[in-house]
Amino acid sequence: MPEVGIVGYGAYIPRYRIKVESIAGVWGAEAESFKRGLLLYEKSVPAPDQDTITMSVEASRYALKRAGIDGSRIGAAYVGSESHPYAVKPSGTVLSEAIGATPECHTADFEFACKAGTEAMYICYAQVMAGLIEYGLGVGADTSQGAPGDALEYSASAGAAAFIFGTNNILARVEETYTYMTDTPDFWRREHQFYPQHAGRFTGEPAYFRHTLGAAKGIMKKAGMTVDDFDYAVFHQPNGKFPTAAGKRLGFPEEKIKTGLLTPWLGNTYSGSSPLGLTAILDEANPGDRILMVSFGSGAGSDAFIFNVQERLLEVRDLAPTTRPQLDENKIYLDYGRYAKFRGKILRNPK
Amino acid sequence: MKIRSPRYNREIPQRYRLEAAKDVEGRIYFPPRVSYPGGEKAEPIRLSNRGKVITYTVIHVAPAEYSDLTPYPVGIIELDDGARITAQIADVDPAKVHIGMRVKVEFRLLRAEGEEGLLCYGYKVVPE
Amino acid sequence: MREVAVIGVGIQKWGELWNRSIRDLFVESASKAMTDAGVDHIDSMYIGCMSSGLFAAQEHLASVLADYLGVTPAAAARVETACASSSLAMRLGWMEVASGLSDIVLIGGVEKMTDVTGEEATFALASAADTEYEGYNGVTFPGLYAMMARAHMDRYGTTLEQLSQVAVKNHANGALNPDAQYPFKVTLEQVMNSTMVAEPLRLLHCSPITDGAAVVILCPADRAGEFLKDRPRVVVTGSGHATDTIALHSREDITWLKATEVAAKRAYDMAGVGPGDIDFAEVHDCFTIAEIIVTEALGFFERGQGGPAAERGDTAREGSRPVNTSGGLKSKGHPVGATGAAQIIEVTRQLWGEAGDRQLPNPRRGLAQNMGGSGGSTLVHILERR
Repeated sequence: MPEVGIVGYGAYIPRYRIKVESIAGVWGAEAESFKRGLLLYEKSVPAPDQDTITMSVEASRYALKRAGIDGSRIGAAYVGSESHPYAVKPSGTVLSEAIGATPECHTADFEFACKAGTEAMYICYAQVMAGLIEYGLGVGADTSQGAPGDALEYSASAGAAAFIFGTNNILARVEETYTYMTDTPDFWRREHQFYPQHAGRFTGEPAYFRHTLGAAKGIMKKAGMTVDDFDYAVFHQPNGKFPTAAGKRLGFPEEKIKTGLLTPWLGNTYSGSSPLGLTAILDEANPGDRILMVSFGSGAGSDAFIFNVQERLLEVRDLAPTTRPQLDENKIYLDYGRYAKFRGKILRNPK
Repeated sequence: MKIRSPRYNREIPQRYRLEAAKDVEGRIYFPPRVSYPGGEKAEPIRLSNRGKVITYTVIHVAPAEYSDLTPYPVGIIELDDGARITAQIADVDPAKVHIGMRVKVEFRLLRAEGEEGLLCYGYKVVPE
Repeated sequence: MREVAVIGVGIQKWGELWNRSIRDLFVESASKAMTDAGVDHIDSMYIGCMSSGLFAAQEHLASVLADYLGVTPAAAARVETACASSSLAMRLGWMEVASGLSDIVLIGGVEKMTDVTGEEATFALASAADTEYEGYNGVTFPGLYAMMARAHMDRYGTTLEQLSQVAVKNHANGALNPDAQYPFKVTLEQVMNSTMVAEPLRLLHCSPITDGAAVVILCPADRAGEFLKDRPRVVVTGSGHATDTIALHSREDITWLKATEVAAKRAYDMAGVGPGDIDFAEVHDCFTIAEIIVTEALGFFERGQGGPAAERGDTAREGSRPVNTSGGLKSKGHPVGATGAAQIIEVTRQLWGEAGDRQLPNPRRGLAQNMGGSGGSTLVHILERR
């Protein structure tokens, strides 16, 4: 079997933000409870001219820059999202066209709540491994919506992460993969519904923790590794509290978790969540470092990857914007009124 | 007026990838043409994705398709290869836009044809 | 070529004419013009209209208008160069008479703009720019001129006060024109505090949305005496037409209107005159920056000096080079397809001595400049009293 890994990666985070206080103030909620209880301070908001497709394109262009390849060499491009702009018509066709991957390119849109992004990554990895394609592009991106006033409104945010898998010039080699999946009705959105429904506290222990911890333990067992074998770990981050708790329960010290923990200031980018955390780690990691990544998608399941960082990463890291500066700099804050307008939450006359 | 599929589809290479053409004397044509003045041959190129603002305005009264965005800046951008395009300047406080401002091209949703029609993508620029 | 004279003009008071359809507007002005000329038939007609389709859902306009004017089976054509459409009609009518093909030719223009919403009108007007590479990217018509204004201010130091002074001057003229849509004066403060449209242009830097029609009757100069009675003979001595790139961003110099420079040169050469020989002009002030650049491109002032000239009052009625004595597009109104013909009417009336309270003292030679889009087409006509 050939060695396969990430050969290029890119992150894209919109510039707009809304603070937890701005949302809580509208609904008569206590901002402090979200900050203390869930470690949520603010979240990214897509501009009215941004969606899963536009963010996927930008993240993918950054990934191509780091990979140093032309878009025409991408043999498969998959976008994982629960907010594909079209119900019917792939996000992947627009992405592939924009990066110049057409016409010899497989594409499909994936949906698995928040783990659609790692599904896209896994399929690319598998196709490269099988020798079917030279390069595969897997993207996790979302512009998710929480119902106004719902707890999800404080976290549902926007961002995209793109990864190109290949066999040449690997930045982070895939050492192991693993999946843990069951049918668990913790969170869903029916066809034609605008906002999702969730099962309250049932989303915690029987859903997030069972699958995330199951996948993490499963991949470590499969690889014959322990927590001590890892320099970084990143988990799906619906809020700041869950991944922190998951890391603690697995025995990861805080410093191995914090690099990839973006949610307190980014919010939950759904399909982009753990993938964006991974980009933040790749922005900092050193050759030889080992990274554990575990996604989680409601419904429910977790994909796990073990990456081993290669020398090549240092050469290409600065060829495209890194993740933390996108998160921390050039922010434009919205009040709730503009946020509601941006997100189409205001009832209007049809044009 | 709604943009329909045939019209939209023809412009995809230019709008998505900034495909242009350059003749032997170095003149850039954007969009590329069916033929060139004087029968010149022109090679396909892609425009640079960075440039600077040559002039700009901030639109306060817009056609229906763009009226949700007002007030929004629009500028004439001279890309680093010398080609000029007209583009919205996104993600910026309109009061901070100025002649000479460095910008980069980003892929954006330009307009949605109602609740049921096409989503129309293309280029805008943002502060570099 | 035969020399061509203007023998009759017709126009109504322009404005938001809710009870007038596009046919009504045209027939009203055309009937006035035919009565004014004293003609009972026409050989052919050319009508400028930018977009009867988008504004009034009516194409095949020439036949509609010939029918309702009652002149069928006269030859009729609707012609279009956006906001310069009826100046193109003027040029084609002039060519037809000059060539000897016809004797009595009606030229004019019409636009019915208020049957659609403001947003729809903005869209229709924007289609005079490059739809795919300007309009698609959200730039509006005022936006294009605003970008010219910004570049002109940046390069030449043109000021907002100078841009505003053009509106003050044109409204002062329009206040004396009974046909004007907005026949009232405005102050510099009112202009500079009006609603923002496309920075730095505010509402009172922009011409309005207008319903209206304007019609002129042409005939060979050697037959003009049959119709003119005591009126002096006014003849067309120069006609120039030029184009430029459709997109503003494709122009070498965004602060310049090349098509106006070239069309003016062609008209001057034909008339055997230069800018210094023009007593007064009607120019295309769709936005006040346009008047400033046009007065430079016509050669009235040096490049970059249009602003200071406006501020000094050079272009006022009492100034050395009166511009837009009618009130211009700004005060008189801008039913886009009709604007060029209305400019010909104002120049003719001034030369006939029939301009009422805004009459200039004994002018002999006037110029009309009318452009389409952001300057993608321009027509210039020179008329002289004989």
